Amino acid sequence: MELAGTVYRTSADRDGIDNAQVVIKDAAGHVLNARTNRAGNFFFVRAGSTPTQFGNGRFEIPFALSYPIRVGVVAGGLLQNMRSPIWREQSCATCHSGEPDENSNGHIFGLETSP
Amino acid sequence: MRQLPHVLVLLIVVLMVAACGVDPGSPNTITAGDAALYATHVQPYLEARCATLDCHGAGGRALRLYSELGLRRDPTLRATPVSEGHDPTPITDQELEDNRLAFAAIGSATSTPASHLALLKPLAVSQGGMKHKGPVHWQTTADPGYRCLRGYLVGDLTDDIPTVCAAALDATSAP
Repeated sequence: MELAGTVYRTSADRDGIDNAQVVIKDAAGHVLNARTNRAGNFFFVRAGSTPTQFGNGRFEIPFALSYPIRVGVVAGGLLQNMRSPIWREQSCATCHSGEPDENSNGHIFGLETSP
Repeated sequence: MRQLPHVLVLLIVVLMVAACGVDPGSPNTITAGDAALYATHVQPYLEARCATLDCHGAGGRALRLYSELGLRRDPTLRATPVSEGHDPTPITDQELEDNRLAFAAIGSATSTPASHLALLKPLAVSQGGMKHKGPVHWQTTADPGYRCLRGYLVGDLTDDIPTVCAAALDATSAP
């Protein structure tokens, strides 16, 4: 896989959000819009001859992504941009796991949680 | 029992005495750069370029860096997730100090200030750099990032450090 992750409705949710838009821009200038599946998952795989979105969260690309990669998530009309780029990691969950703490910003989420 | 030759015995004694002079647990003295310069001009560049959670913002890395969006020194510093509506907790003085020392420490074993690992690892190997698990950040030593860190670590360039570090940060922040 080139890049994969799960988008949740809010930071506190444990159910993935369906049909969220994941927008990535890599260092080579590729801009790709992927959609999550019903579990909130999306995954870019290197396959095919043209960028193609499938209904199960699979997004095929015929090239390797170039780092750094900038990412944003659109859900419920709200855009959440990741403030720092991805420099090398292909699994979002490596940095986005569990509750927010010193090692993680928590899950990837689309909608704000009331403070 | 056969006796060891005197020369060999002498060599063993010399080696044992020499070994006693090295205490692997003793602290090394490291010289860190200026704290204010680091906090104001170097840390922002390192935060954007090096200290993300997937790189040097991880405890297991040889160079561990704290940052507002990356690794925090204390979990309470990220009690709520950073988002469009929630800014990160500002970096603390202790995190800055730890970073400054960590940054200095990876250069403590190098023979000259210019061979500091922080100047070699991000630089392209073809330009005298060293292989880096992460990306090549500087194609040449003319890159403002290289000049920012060299100005801070070595101090032998004519560049104005705040200016060149700001240029390096701008280049990193560009979409």
